[in-house]
Amino acid sequence: MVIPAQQRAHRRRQGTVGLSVALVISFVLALLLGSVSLSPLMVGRALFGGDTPEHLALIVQSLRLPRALLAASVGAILAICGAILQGLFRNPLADPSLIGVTAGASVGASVMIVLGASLGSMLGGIAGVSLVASGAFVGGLGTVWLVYRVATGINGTSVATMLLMGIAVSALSASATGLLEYFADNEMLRRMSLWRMGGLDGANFTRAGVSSLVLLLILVAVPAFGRALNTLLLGESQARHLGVDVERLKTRLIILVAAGVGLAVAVSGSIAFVGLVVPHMVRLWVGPDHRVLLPLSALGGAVLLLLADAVARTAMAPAELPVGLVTALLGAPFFISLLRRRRLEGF
Amino acid sequence: MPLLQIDHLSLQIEQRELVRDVSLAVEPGEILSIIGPNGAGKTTLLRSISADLEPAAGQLQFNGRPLSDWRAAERALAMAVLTQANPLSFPFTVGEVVALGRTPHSTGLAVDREVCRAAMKALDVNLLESRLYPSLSGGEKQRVQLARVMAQIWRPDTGADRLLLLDEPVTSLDLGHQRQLMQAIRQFADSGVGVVMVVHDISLAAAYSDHLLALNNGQRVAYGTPEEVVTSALMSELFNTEVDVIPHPQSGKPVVLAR
Repeated sequence: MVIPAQQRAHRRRQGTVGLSVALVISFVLALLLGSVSLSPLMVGRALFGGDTPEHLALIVQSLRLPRALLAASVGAILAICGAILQGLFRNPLADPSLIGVTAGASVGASVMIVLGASLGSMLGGIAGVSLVASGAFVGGLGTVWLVYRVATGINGTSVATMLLMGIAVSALSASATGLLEYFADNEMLRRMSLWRMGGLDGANFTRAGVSSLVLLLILVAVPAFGRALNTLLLGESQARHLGVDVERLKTRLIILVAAGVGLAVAVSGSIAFVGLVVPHMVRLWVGPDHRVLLPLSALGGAVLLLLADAVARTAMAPAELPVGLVTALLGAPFFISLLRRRRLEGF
Repeated sequence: MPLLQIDHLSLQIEQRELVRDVSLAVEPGEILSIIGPNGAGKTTLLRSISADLEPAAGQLQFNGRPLSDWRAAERALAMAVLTQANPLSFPFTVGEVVALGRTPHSTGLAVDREVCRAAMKALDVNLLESRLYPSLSGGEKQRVQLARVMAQIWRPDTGADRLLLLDEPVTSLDLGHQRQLMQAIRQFADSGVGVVMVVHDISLAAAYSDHLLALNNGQRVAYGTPEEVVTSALMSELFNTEVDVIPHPQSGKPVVLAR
């Protein structure tokens, strides 16, 4: 298989333009589609203060707009975190949900819901979100660190160990969550179980704002890591010999991923496979160079989650599917086909 | 002032002493090959020169300064390392892999491209530039990796003299490519780069090196020119098997024959 460097450069431009256009289209679709279909004209009027019926304006402004913003930013965060994890583990099968990071973050968030419920209600909305988010962050951080320590040796990361660690951590998290549920009261139980299904239905401008802010921070931080992540793919000691401070790089990446996944879990529950599917497709198209892969994955993740959420809202309207179900329905067969291909290629 | 000076170096991994009281010096333009049986401490010694392993005792000086004083980013401008295992499974093109060697530098795109092209040409991989690295054969991968580390220190970009460390660079290659690679390394050394490498094939090491260091059980058993080190008595003792050493009919360099 020959892929001339020129073709890759060409595909990079194509990918950037194509995904940007797709983002705009899917964002508009997310505003138009739903249990009530709206015409572009009406959405435009509702957004820019034209003359619309009050209930339609309400649907667009306080339901669909924050939800589309949340879907786009969470999708972008998950995809970029998946791409970073795959680089860090030197393994294209790493995904926040598969290796247990999402489960770890969920436990952290559950703990904060139970312990901090009274505190959160005293402090009000934003503090409530940030309390749960910091719990999810700490849970995510602990899990990435643990999985990385156990699964990675001098020859890279063992896929088997990594996935088994995912199972172990998920089992541990399930029992920890079960224990928490035992002590939780009705209100907390409802919050925990709703939130575990992974939905964007709790979208509001606070959540959309917080996750957009985190996405922005990640996007600002990412260009500094692109080159170093590329050298990390050669191997850790190889990266060190190229002058990269590997320990510091790993620490920063792990914190970045934990922050991203923790936030995503805190605002939208566990949404699986976005972090696996998107970077994989982008890598197939433009190659593994992180300087291109990371921003394009962000675009692709935003598009994928916007579309998946549109499907979740319309497929069984007026009822709503949790978007986590849709991405899993899409992602699980993809993952199986990847595993099969790796087996055939003798990995 | 030698490029690399090692005095009474001892190395330990998990309390086990793997290298004991080794001293050596390498000048710019010189090739030093480390030989010895498996487990003699060759790779361990190389790892300490590449700053992957802290010395338990003794001193390492690189360009006249203690090695531990060099920051990683600064060291990478003057020292390149090719390790034994290079597990790269992501689909970079050959050109992209070689370009990774320019990571420590900020010499600009044009210079980087020119350097990479020259390094690929020297290793005869310029025609593979657009191929995907994982699809290459073992020998091709090895030449690409060597091109990458050569590209890293291709030009004297800083005031410091350059050092190339190679761990068994030719072990998995066929005869033709072994020669080709050693010639490329020799030419690279002749441009003023010091080379320290671990080599298993004694005759090959003797043909291309200025000095040989024979290690056994972590200790220096011989150190000098190929003619001084490669004698039938010493080689027989070192590898614990009877060998003959004859001069090469053309070059006169010692050749080792198993009896």
